[in-house]
Amino acid sequence: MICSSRLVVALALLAVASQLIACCNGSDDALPIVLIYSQGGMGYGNDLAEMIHSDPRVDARVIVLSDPELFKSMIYFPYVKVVVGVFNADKDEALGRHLINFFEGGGGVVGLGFAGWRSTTGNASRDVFSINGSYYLTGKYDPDTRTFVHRLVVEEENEINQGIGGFSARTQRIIMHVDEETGELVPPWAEGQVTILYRESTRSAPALVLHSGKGVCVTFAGFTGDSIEGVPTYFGRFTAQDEFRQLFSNSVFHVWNEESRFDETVARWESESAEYESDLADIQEDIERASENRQLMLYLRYISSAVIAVVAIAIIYLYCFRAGRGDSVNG
Amino acid sequence: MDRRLLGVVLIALVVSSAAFFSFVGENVEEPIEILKDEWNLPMGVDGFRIPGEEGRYAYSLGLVVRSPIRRLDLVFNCLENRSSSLPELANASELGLWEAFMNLSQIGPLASTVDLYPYVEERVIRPDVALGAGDLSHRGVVYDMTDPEVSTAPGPVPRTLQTVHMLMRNEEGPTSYYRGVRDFFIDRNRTIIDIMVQFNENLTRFAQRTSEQGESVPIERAPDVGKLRFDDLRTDDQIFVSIAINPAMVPTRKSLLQLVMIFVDGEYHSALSHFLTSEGG
Repeated sequence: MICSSRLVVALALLAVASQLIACCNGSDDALPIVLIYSQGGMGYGNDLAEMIHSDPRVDARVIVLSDPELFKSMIYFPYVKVVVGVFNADKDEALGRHLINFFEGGGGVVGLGFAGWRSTTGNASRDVFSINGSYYLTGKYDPDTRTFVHRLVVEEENEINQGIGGFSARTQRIIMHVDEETGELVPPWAEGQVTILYRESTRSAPALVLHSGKGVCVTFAGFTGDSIEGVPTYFGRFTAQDEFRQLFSNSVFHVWNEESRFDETVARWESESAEYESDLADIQEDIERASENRQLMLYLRYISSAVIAVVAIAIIYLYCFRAGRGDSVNG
Repeated sequence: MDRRLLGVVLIALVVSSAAFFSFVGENVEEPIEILKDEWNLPMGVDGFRIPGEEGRYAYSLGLVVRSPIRRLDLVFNCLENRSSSLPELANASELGLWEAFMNLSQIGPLASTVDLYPYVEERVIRPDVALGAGDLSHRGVVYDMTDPEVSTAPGPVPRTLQTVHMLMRNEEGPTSYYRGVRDFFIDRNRTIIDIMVQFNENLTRFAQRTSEQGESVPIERAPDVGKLRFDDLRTDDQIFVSIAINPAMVPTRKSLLQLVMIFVDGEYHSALSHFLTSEGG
């Protein structure tokens, strides 16, 4: 009794909590999800989530995660429309294969930090993020802002960087693919179309890359950030920068518009759900039919039992009572 | 007079027999009866111990059908204790299970999406089902997100994907968080020696090494995502499942929970659970 009342209370709380979440996100339950993986801590991811929330063009439920196993699982959810991968360390968490699956399923991806670093995201550093990085260039220390900056110059303009122009970005470091033998910069390559939107000024390394293939991906080849406030590498130093905020918001909006996964997976899930529902309905129908048959058999059994009992009683009556009365008259 | 007495006795006999066949014979039974639910592993203080050595240890599940069933699903899950990754679990004593799910940093995001999936429902592991070393007061809530992920993935979803989540509590609050795979055992292609599924006289054996014993099927072809389905079962049908593992292949120092969930005619019926701890390393 105590347990069931607790369950009722718990369910009520869940209902309220779900409503709260829906309200906080300002819309209904079926909103597409923007899934942010924030490696090493939630702070950086939460800042990015806030940027997405404040962009009226993107009406999404934003979920921030720092657990790689949970991220691996959630990346396959039908309602995930955009994945934002924030990688702050040269650390392989075996996420690359799942990111490739998402991208090849038509998903929209935005990668930051070590996303394009070979030993962090494996083949995804090339096939999704199109950087395939093996070398990085630390920015020049700027004592005024206490950050490491690179000068970014526009290579090609599109809706992501339109009107923003070149700027000094607090990137911390720029990741690039360098030929190990020659030391030459290897241009980004991936299946599909790769467009370089920004280059850093000293080595002309790609700094912001748009990759349109089976899915669509925007890669920031920098912007790794620590969670410790006050240090030069603190993520807050660049998430507060207007140019970064605009570029990030525009990137999310771009992949949001261009991805093709969401409609397909939602349709597939809805069809699967409908099939499941119809399957259950069929089972229920079969059960009801069987139950009706059992009920009918039960009635027949009642009736036949009653008929047999009446006949038996009649025979007993004739044999024991009527015959007995004749005997006593004759006697 | 003797005949009349005999008549009264006979009529009473007829009436009582008719009543018996009409009413007493219509008892509604539980649809299934579990005949066997055991591991042949050594028992430790807090569950079974998986020794860190080569060998063959098996879980056996046997059941008999007591009334006709249109569909029976046996869903096998193998979860790992991940409580240590949730330090805030200790501070959640005032929270209900659902509330705790919503508030825990790692699970909250997952729980917040559950309303998107109408068929991903909570499964309360009833207190009458033992969930550990004699402690019947534990309750658990299970989120099984496997179906949405598998059904919408562009290709095969990796078996290692942890899609099942479970939070357990006792009278004092949430006690532990488990997460793992919906499969016959973790890392099936390495740990499982064979799986035997017997339905009445029909036996199917899925084995790691198919050449060893003639007519077995490769383990990769065992039903995906740990679900065994039986349709149109009749009274007295019998099902026997055996999962044999090689303990040497089980990752060491793992605290596992094997959870077998039973669904009858599409509805959750009950769950069987076993705590397993792997030794060695």
